[in-house]
Amino acid sequence: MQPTQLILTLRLRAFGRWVQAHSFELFFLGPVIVGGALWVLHRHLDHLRVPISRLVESPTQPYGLPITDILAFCLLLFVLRLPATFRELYSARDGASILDVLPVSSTARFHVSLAAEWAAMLPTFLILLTAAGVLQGRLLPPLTSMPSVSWRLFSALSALAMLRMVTALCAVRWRFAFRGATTLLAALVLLALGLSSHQPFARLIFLPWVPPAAQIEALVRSCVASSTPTTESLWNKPLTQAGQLLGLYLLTRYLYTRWHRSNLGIARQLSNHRQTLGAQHVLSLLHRWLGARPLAAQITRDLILVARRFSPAVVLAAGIAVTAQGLALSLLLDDNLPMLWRQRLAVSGFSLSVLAMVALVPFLLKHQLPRFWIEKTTGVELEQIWKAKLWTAAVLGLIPAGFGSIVLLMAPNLGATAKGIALLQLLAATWIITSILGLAVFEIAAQPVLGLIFGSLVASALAALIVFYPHAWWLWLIFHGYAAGQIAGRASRRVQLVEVER
Amino acid sequence: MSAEPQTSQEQTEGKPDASQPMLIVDNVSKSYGTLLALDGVSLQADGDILGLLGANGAGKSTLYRSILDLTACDSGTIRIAGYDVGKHSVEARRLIGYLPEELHLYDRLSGWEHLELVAGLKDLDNRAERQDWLDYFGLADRRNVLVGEYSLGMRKKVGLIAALMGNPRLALLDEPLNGLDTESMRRLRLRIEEMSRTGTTFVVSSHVMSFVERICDRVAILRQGRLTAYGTTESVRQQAGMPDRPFEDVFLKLALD
Repeated sequence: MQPTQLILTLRLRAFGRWVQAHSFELFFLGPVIVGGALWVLHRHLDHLRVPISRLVESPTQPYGLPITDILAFCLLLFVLRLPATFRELYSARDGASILDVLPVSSTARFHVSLAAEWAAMLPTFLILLTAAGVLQGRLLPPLTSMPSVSWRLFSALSALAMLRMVTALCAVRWRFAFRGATTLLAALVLLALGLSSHQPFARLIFLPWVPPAAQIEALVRSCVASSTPTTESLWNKPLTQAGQLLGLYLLTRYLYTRWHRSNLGIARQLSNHRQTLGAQHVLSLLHRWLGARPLAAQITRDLILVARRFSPAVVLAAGIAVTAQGLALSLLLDDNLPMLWRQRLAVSGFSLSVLAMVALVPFLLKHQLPRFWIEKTTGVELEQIWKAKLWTAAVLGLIPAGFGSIVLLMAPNLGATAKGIALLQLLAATWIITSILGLAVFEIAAQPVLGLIFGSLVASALAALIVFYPHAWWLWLIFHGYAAGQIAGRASRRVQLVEVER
Repeated sequence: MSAEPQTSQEQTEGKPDASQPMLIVDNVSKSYGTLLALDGVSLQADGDILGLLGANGAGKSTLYRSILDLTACDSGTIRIAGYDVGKHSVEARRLIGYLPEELHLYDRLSGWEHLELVAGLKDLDNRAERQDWLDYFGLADRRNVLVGEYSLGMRKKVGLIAALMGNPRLALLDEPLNGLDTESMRRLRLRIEEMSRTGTTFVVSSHVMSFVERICDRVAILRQGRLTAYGTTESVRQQAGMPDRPFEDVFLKLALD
């Protein structure tokens, strides 16, 4: 067997085991939740179908859908996956990869990485396209358009994968530290530039993403619209696409085989050195201020790990939080909406950003499980262990909530009463989300996704109650008190049951 | 309304008792499915250095985990300074410093931050002591470097400092020599001897028999979960019928034959 095939087979086997381990969530719980949500929301989805079809089938832009939106989508996918691409190429977090010391050719490793990068985005695309199709009342695109859909999916994913690989290779070569916040900021600046300007400079910056964006735009049209695309741009012609892909493939392969091996040392340095900078001094001060107490030590440790991006989930959560904040801000400033809805939607957006940040806590605990012996063997009270996670959730939630509160207070088109109500609603929603998710974190410590789903459902339902039915505040207070009391009552036992890995 | 009177045994378990040996392991058994990891193990340690020896898979790590109540015993009791660890694990753990064999640390914390974390969890305010330990093991100039960049020996030193700082009354060191250079091994031995003189009880596992022979007052040898020898190195030699042979040969006979 060729090395490429051998490595891919092993990775597929590992993936198969992962699917097997998560089969309950993937094949039962997930479909039940999604199906239940669709069943509850199906009447509202009917209303959405009309504007989406109108947007796609009566294009006002050269590419059908506004190209800036598709470009923004491409850029988001690109940025969110970039840290994972870095790890895929350099195994920097796990030390030297076994492949670095085995006689495996650079070309074989390049193809493995390319396949992994390609496959990593496939589920996201399939879910989005299926969701787009479901919104239009069908699960699959018409059979006649399947070949073109497959080709577009392949070329869009390939182009995005290779763009990420080229970026990662160049960034390491030129010693640009892969900091999530920096990357995210750069993407936002680019996004703002692209959305607000039609200057040639902005177009030039976006040029690499235009081919995959054109593919995605055609892809969405194929899945959503009743007919195949009628407008063919330069980027949509199969020959042009094949030429672009071939060029990008040759460039990526050349850079990989030329730079990858010599980049390994630089990547390792970047991965470690950059982590000692940043929030260290602030957190050190925080530690001194809180004192050497078990609770303070755990909260400080948690915040340091989040600040140093213990997982790509941190970038993802920050991205979702920033996007939700931006969405809330734009809805708040939209004078076409009635004031009540501006207030409700803005508070919902800010609450979503709180949820995104607090959702990190279950993943933080999962990351800490192999090191849980530290807490378990130092005589810390079980109560202080779960309370530390509650406080970490509160601190993480208060960051976006604080920003949201400032925005709400400064909103020019909300009255004083509306501002006050919105502020109270946001703070109450933050309290509910942080307390429920922070308390529930030990419920299913080894399965953060499952814990997150349950916690988010309860917290979102209660937060929605506050935003949309504020006069029934006593109801959510009772529900919240009951739910939080139930979880808190068994939290210590849950902590005790957490196994320390051998 | 009056509270239920406590029995004398409960009163003893609820607080440390200086009259009792620091560590008592009494007839402890533990199995994982059909695998009997510990089979009626009994031993004591009090103010001395006990070597816990055995081949890979003999049950040493399971015994450490049982002492810390990370794994519940199927039968038998373990007491630390009078605390029954099954009932008062938190109180018992406050008296212990532990170095596991598989040392999982946070790659994204620096060595200093790691020690700060452990000190915080133990409620110790000991900046100066931590700095002394780092100086002692030659880690002071690397204290702000992330653990992810440390060598195996440096990680081991962080684990050792975390276990030994604050003068624990009982130190459980599972394979403390792995990854240490010769100079660090010597320094560790000296520090263990010094702490033992001031009252810390040690239970140490190692495959380096010269270290064990030199440092341990007594040894306990486990084979497939059973205690096959227990006593001073000289008495264990006698027990094996090999009074003049190197201790390595004695160990191989008792642990493997």
